[in-house]
Amino acid sequence: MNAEYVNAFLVPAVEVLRKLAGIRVRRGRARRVEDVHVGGNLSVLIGLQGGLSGAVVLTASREVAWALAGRIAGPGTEAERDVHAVWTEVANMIVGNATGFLEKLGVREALTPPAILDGNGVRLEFGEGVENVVLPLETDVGRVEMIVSLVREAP
Amino acid sequence: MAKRAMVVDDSPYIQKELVKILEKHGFQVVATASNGLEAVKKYKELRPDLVTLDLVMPQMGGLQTLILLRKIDPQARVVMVSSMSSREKIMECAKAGARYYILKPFEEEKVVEVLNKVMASSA
Repeated sequence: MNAEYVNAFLVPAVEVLRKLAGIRVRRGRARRVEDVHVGGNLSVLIGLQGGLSGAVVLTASREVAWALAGRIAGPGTEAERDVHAVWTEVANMIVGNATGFLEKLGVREALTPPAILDGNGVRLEFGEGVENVVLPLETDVGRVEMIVSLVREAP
Repeated sequence: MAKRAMVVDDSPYIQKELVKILEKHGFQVVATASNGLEAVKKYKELRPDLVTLDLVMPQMGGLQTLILLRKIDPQARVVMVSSMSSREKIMECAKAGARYYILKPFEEEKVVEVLNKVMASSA
């Protein structure tokens, strides 16, 4: 996958987490994977359709997701539905902000509303030709991963 | 008399944050909605002075909602609040009659500045 496309998501991911949660965020080393396993984590999936098609998944352990939600929405953020709401919106902001970067690369995107994935043994398959790139983000409260699973559509 | 507002966003977290900001700065939030269908229905019933409107929502998205609100009320004051940063989207909303476009994540000061400008401007 074109590094510029990956950066289009990575740059807003770092900015959104820093801005919302007031934490330090350090980029880890990106890696390609065959399959996407997010079991045991709290994950949010947003679909993309346009010049690039596929999905972006924001995922972290439940412990990290809860800690981040507390940093973003306040110490009382404990209820599952509240943490889900915050986590969903973080993913929404990252991918939404990425559309501006992608537009500058000549790629226009439509997004789906976010979907929560929460459970054990969750494996995602995105079909033929889709490249899965895992982008680790080390934060003050633990590791968050963004998985960018996209294929470039023929013009 | 308090300015009356409606907050439209499918995110409960964003709804809560915007309601908090609006109420802190003198607005009476008369309704919230999680999608465009609900927003149009409530606008017709309540005719708020101002609407904050998300773009990507289930059932009916923000752009279609904006167009419908402006058909119902050509003077409707609608401020888009969205994470979509593409210039094309922003221009589409401006052409459809949005007064301003606030990008998420937003800062309270920016939201207040924009809302006050919109309320101060003539329809």
